[in-house]
Amino acid sequence: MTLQNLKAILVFLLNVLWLIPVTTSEVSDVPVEFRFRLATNPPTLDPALSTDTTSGAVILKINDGLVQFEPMSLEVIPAVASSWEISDDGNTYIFHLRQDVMFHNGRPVTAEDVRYSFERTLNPATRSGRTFVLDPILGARAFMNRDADSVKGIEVLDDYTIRIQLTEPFAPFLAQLCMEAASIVPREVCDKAGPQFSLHPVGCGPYQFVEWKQDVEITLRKFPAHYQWSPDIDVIKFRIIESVPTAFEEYKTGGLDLLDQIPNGQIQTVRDGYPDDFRVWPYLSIYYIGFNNSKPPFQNNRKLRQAFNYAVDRKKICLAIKEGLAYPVAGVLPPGIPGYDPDLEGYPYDPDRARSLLAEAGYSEGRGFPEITLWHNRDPRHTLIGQCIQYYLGQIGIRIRLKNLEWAAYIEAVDEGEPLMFRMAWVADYPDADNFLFTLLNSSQFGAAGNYARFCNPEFDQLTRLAKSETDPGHRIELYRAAERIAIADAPWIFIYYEREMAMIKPCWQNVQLTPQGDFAIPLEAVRRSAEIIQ
Amino acid sequence: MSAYLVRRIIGVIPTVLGIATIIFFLMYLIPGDPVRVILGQHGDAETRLRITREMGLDQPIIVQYGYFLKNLATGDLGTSYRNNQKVADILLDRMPATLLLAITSVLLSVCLGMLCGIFAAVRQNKIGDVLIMILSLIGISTPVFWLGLLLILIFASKGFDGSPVLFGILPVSGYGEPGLDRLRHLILPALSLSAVSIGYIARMTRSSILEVIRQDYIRTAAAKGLPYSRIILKHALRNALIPVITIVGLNFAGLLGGAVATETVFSWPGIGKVVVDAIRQLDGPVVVGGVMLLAFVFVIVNLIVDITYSVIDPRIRLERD
Repeated sequence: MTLQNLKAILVFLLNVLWLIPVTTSEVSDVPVEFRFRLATNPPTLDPALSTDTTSGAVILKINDGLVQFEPMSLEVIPAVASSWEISDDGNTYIFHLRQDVMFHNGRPVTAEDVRYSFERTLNPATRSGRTFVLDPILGARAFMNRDADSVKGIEVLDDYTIRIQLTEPFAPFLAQLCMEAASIVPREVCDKAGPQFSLHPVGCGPYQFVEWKQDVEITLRKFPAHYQWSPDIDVIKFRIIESVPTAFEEYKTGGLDLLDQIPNGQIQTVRDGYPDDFRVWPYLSIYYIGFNNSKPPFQNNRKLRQAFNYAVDRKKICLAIKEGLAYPVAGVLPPGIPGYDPDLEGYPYDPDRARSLLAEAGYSEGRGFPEITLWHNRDPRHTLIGQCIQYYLGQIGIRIRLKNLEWAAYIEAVDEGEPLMFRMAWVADYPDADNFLFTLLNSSQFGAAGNYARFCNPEFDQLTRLAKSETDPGHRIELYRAAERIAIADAPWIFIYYEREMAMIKPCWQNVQLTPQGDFAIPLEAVRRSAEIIQ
Repeated sequence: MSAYLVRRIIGVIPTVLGIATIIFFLMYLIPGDPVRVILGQHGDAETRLRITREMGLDQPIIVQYGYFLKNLATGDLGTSYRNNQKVADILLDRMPATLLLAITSVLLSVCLGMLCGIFAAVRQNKIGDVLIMILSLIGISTPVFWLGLLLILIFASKGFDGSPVLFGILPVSGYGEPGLDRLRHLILPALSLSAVSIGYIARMTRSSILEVIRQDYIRTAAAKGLPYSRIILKHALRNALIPVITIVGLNFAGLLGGAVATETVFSWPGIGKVVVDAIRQLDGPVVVGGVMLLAFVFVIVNLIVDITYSVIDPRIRLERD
């Protein structure tokens, strides 16, 4: 029996059982649908509770805040607020709201809703993990600690004007207001729904929530009364498919329009074979191997840390393990972040220099260096990178062991400063140098707040603190660049690579803005479908 | 019989409670902090402390256990740390999909496994027997996730140009809409999940039947001139069923919570995946609730298996007369 015969029999049998749907050639009046893959069931659809990009992918479509990022330049542009004024001292913001913004339940959005939404995020009963977004507001701390009934720095001036006063000038405040936790939600729906709000969210974004089949899919429909967008895509289906090979098959069979991951080892094949579908673009993230700078042998031994940096061939790691989807790190700030310095040299691969620095650090050819362990969380990619580091350090006489743990146990150990070396990556919460240099390396951020390497340099601390409140953008960049040069020279990490974002997108979709924030933030409301429909 | 049933059903309570208690304390022993997992990578100490306090996780473990028992007494399995949802809602939401997949897989494995086992037994040491034994061994030893991907490749996969790789007639993954669409989505996961059971049941049926057909009463039935098919199906099979039922019972309970690989490959919204995800995220209430539910089903299925023994073989008594 030939394969064709076998296939014909199978098709016949399944047809008899009505298990193959009847296909028609009519395509008229079918809503335009976009199918987006989510790798897991989102933990929540409540913007106040979201701490992950899976939830963020959906939440960003349902909700709007006062301001938003222009997807490509990442400048802060108007959203619900049509304009704003900032006082000369950078301490007070007055936002003027548009008067044509509606919630999905049909009620207009007012300044009172902004106050309610911000206080809801800050309210300890909400259990938001993103209170830091609104923490700079005057009185936010007192409210969070239940010492005040309202946030002193939020003042509704009239239905469409709100004044926000900060404790001290904080330059990235507007950028932080673009985050999900600053979304505007309707009080009557939130209060009535309670915890159920995360299952049935209502916002004022370009798409409204329709249905969430747990672990299967989330459906959104375009909101016709949106103040800004009239999207081509009528319906977005977020299909929850954890297995990458399965998601890849779904993409090929037309079950997905955007695929964010490709099975390991197939990237080059897909890239060469399907150039129209394959997209790569810069991403605001950095991958590094951290040292524990507060413990020997790395504490007070800059030359040792520099030696490790010179010993590693980042280019080969990018090519071999990331299949070209990353590029070697020269500094801390990735391209796309204001202040990124393309002229930085970083640490080129130079094993001879590494050996000589190692000798100057007191460990000539690795003699006397304790055998230490590089920790990483369980993931084949991290294991491979760990093995590369192990190999390169072995070339200069340093022996290290590898240890992997599940994420929960791993992050706890890294928070506590237990490992002497550990792998870590960072994806920008908001596109500002503060979110890299201050968060990851300022000594006030030790441990879970971001400075896992426990790096401490008073000059660096001073510069990043000054930059935080500097209102002149040009001067801010200068401060950050000076701080970054200190960080590079001090080598608190082995700098590895800047990630590049990758996705397969059906060529029938046009005007897809590949934002450096990542695929989860691609504004689907701006996507257009070409006249020629493929598949 | 009824007194026996009542006793067994009452016995379910301490069993399930004991298991829940063990899991509750085991979750506490797992390194890591659920609040830290919730916060993602950006988790400052102050926010963490605030949320920990709000969730009552700053209380001593024995106090937390007391709250757990108190809630349990009112039928409340608690609230997920991760998303504030009621654990009972999370589990009940997945129950239909879990049951559908498990029941279909059991039916498939019983029908195909017994058929293959009987065929192999009556054709002992012939080519059919050898083939079935080899296939059953492959079924038992093939990793479920690999078989799942293979089935997708054979029955669902298409190239970028839209042409099928082989057959390309079934959906790759998903749960489908109620009705025929759901049935289409069920075929591949059910096949994938039942492969191991088919292998076990085929081998068990074969060996049981071979043991039984050497008994005197089978020889007597043959001597009476009964047709061979009747001897096998009516006399031999019934007595050979006891070990097979044991396997089916254990398998069914295992399929409810142990179908994680299948659920992952085919994006099937089952309980197994929810519990495994909850373990990764240290979501204690969901883990404890999920395990309690699975333990309950396990005990009930065991009870049904015990009752079935006595129905199939009246010589077996459930309790002493």
